[in-house]
Amino acid sequence: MEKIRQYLRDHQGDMLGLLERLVNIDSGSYCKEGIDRCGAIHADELRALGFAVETIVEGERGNHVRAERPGQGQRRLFLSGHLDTVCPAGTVARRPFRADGDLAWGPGVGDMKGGTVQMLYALKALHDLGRPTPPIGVFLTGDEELGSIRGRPHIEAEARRSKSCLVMEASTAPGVIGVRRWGVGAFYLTIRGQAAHVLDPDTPGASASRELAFKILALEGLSDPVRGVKVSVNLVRGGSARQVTAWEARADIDVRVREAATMPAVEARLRAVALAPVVPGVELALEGGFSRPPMEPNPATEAFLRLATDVGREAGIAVRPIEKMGGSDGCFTAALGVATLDAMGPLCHDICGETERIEISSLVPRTLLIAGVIERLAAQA
Amino acid sequence: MSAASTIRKYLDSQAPAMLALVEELVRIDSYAAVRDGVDAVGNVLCRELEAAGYTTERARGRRLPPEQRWLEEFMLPGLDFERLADHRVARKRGSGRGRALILGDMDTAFLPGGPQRFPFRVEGARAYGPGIADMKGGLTVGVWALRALAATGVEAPGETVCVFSADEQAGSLSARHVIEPAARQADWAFCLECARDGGNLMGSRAQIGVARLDVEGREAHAGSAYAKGVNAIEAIARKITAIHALTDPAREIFLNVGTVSGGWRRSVVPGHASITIDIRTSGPDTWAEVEAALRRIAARDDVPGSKPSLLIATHRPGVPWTKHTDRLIAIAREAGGELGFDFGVARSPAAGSSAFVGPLDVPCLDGMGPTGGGLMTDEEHVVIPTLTERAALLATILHKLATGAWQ
Repeated sequence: MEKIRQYLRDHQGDMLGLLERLVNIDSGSYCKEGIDRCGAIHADELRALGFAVETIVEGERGNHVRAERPGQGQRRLFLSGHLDTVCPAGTVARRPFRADGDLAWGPGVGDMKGGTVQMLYALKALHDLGRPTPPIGVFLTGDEELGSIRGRPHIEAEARRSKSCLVMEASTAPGVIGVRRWGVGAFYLTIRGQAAHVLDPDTPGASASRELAFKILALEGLSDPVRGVKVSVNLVRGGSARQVTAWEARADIDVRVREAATMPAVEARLRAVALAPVVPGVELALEGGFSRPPMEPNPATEAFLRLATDVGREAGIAVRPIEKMGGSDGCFTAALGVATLDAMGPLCHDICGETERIEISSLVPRTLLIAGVIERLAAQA
Repeated sequence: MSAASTIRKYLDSQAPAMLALVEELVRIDSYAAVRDGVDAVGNVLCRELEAAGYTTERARGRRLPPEQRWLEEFMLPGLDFERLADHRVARKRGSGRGRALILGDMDTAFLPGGPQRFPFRVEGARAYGPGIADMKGGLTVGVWALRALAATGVEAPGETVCVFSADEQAGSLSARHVIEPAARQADWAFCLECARDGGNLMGSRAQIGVARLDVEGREAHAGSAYAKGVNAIEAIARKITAIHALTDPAREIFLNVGTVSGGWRRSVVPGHASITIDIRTSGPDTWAEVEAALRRIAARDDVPGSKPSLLIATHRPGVPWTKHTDRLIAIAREAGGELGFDFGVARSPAAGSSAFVGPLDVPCLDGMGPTGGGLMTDEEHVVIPTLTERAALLATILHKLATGAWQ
């Protein structure tokens, strides 16, 4: 353990250098070119560590990177990450990578470029120190922030071949490991009203903007903290001109649920509320659905968490399981019964916000935890 | 023969020429942002009026002061106000009493390409085309009313001034600076918007304004950091329902939240939301009341941590219905009676160039144009026989005013 820790300390500057390179590439979910460049950098690093690497090419969206390396034992490990960020094109120019004291700033520095850099350096440390590793599959999806629509079949294929999975999302406090995440739904409401000039007495019109306002409030009213349901309308557009009754409006609805068992009832209530018109004459249509089931702890996860806790104890890290409202690709792996530990990445503040930043001093202990878990899996039967 | 009969007879004989002028104007693409098109309409109008002895000139408005520039972008997004066509002013002295102001607009609401997509056509008693009712039919009525006075030699007011605006569809922000000085010199004003249902004139116009309400919240990832976010869309939804509730048709208060936007992706708590609001009130008192209510709604703390900002301005003060309006209506009815037709007079909540003469206390009648319908759609039309009727009505009213009907 101490040798790995020393290795990582010696390479912290290299980690930050790689992180700077990655952060300074605009790789928002719609910046295909930047995602592909980030993917190529990861592919080169993995190849140098003896992985067989394959780039899965996408047409419009970012490519994915898949890598595979045999190892000791039967407990194949899946390392899950993503290459895209939530930041639109141009964010890097506005706020490029910056390290200042113990903080490193920049778009995606925590979600999740810091996490994939940690994954690479955990593998690198074990490789360079000649430590044993289990069979490993790596999959870095190019569209996680869009719900992993394209990446999901690959993620699930990797999960089915694996016994356990580590997800490189950012952490929020020292020692935390994510064992529970909420499921995510993405629903899209279209409101068709009737256009009319505000003054045309023959055509009263039906204001889609007005219906939209009622819908925003009614939908958000479905949130139920006790049952673990959060509904929020996070994107709206409506109307064409101030003096014309809006003939169309759209709302993108974000839904989070804590437990898989509540998903059908939540979706039914959502449909009932979304599709009941308030303003006479409007028509409503709802598309979308749950894109990620909740990540719920299963018996395999409990055992995997004990293993990680042991590793943490040895490394002087007090491991603490946590729950997060944000979905991740771990939702897919856990739903397939694979032991999944998430939020293995660096300690991050204001994730996806304007001041997203990580604590540099968290890089070594978080990476050490990953490396320790990987090494321990190789020794298991 | 009475002056009314003389005027009517002359105009009946010119009906084909009037329809030809309507067609010529409708075939010109004159969306406010199409400078050459609006300019071409101005050239045609000046040509027609110069033939009746009018002198014509070009006029420029002024930019708004910097603190009100947001209105320019609001009215016609992307339009460079420096590139607007000139407004046109035509004037002629006459031998009778008083000074009359005629107001018309050269721009239409149809986006560039309107005349190609929706070409001029005649079907039965109706003529169709982009801007034919709003207000190329009205321009034709105005021009031919003045030509009729000149051609028949009946007595006309001491001075008749026409102001043709280049930016009425864009809020008249520039034309206002030409209309107001002309109105200060006038005893009566007439505006050439098309007549409403059944040939109604308009005796008043609402006060009109716009507002833009923005709410700043705080962005945060909807999953990982939900509690740190401040949802600007939720805040603005609460404000939208409150704003719509201010509408009170009985008191002629109309508010419309036309556009709504907020957020930028489903998975991020929105840090910004914005709406645009159209506001119409019966006059300054109700305007003040609505503005105060909007400011209250804007400032309300709907979602803790959200910060609202409200821009509000009235750009058309409107025309109140006064006792002078009643007098002018009586004279118009007398003229109509002599010509053999009657009409109602309505209160209008719509926008128009006449909206600037109200605060100057100039008696005003609007809706002097032909009967029209289907405004701003591909059914926009005028009723052809009303072109001559309305031209005769306006000419007869001007003649009556010139010969002492107001005294």
